[in-house]
Amino acid sequence: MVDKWVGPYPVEELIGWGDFASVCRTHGPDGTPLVLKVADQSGQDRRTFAWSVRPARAVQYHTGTTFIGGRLDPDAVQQMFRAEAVMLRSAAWRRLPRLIDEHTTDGGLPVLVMEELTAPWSLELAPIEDFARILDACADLQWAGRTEFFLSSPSMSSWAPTASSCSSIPGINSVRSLRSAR
Amino acid sequence: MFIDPWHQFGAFAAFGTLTPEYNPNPHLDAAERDVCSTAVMVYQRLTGDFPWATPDWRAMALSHLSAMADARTPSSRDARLTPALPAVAGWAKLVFGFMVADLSSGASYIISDRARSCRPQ
Repeated sequence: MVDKWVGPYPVEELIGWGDFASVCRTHGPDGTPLVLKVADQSGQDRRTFAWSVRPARAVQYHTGTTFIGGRLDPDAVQQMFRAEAVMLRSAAWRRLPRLIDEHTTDGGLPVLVMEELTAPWSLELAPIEDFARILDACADLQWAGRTEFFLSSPSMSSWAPTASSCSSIPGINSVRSLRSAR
Repeated sequence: MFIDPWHQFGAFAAFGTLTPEYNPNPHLDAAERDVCSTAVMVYQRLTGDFPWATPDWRAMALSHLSAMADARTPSSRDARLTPALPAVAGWAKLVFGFMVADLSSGASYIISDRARSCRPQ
């Protein structure tokens, strides 16, 4: 898939993949377990449309309904990884894995070196309170995205969530009730 | 696992978060996508079903969640969920209620009356 080394990081076991990246284990110079998130769109071909894995896509696949997606050109991939790096640097101090380093493969693919999560996670077995944490992590990323990409840009500084986007659904406030149920 | 900090989509791409895996409507704003996707994940966690493709499934999901929120029905999947179930199901039901209303008003959800099984296979 990629080189045996990315900078000083050895490419070890492949532990996951998605539409736009594969994730491999690696370790830092001091032996700290880390992961490499490598730009790789071949996962779009390898993924199965299993209901249990990709329910929304499975519906689209089985019914022929349209869905926006598809491959990105190299510039867009670079932009995507750059954006993710910026947002993780801004947001990862709370609930998200830390970004350790950024590199590129010999072929020019962007690579993020990240803290390894210590425990595997599955939807089927997740403690219910994890879903509140997911929403919290999403909120962290939302905030980082606005801060890093919008509020810092003169052309975007006037952007603000619409009233409908913030108040029309039972969202973050309702997380409190979910937490209190723990 | 589910968080995709940059999902290419529309003007709000820079802070899209959850992947589209569980999002029944890709046209929602980013914050709405997060909430709706999480509610779909919660429903799948509680029941094993994916709730959105047909009117029957949506009605069934709301019925399931109502029963769980009222503590009339335990989770079919995991007894450990029981203490928090009414609050969690009640929250998911609120979100689903929004999505059904949104759909009824013409929103473009990933649905089809031709879809088949609701169960993960």
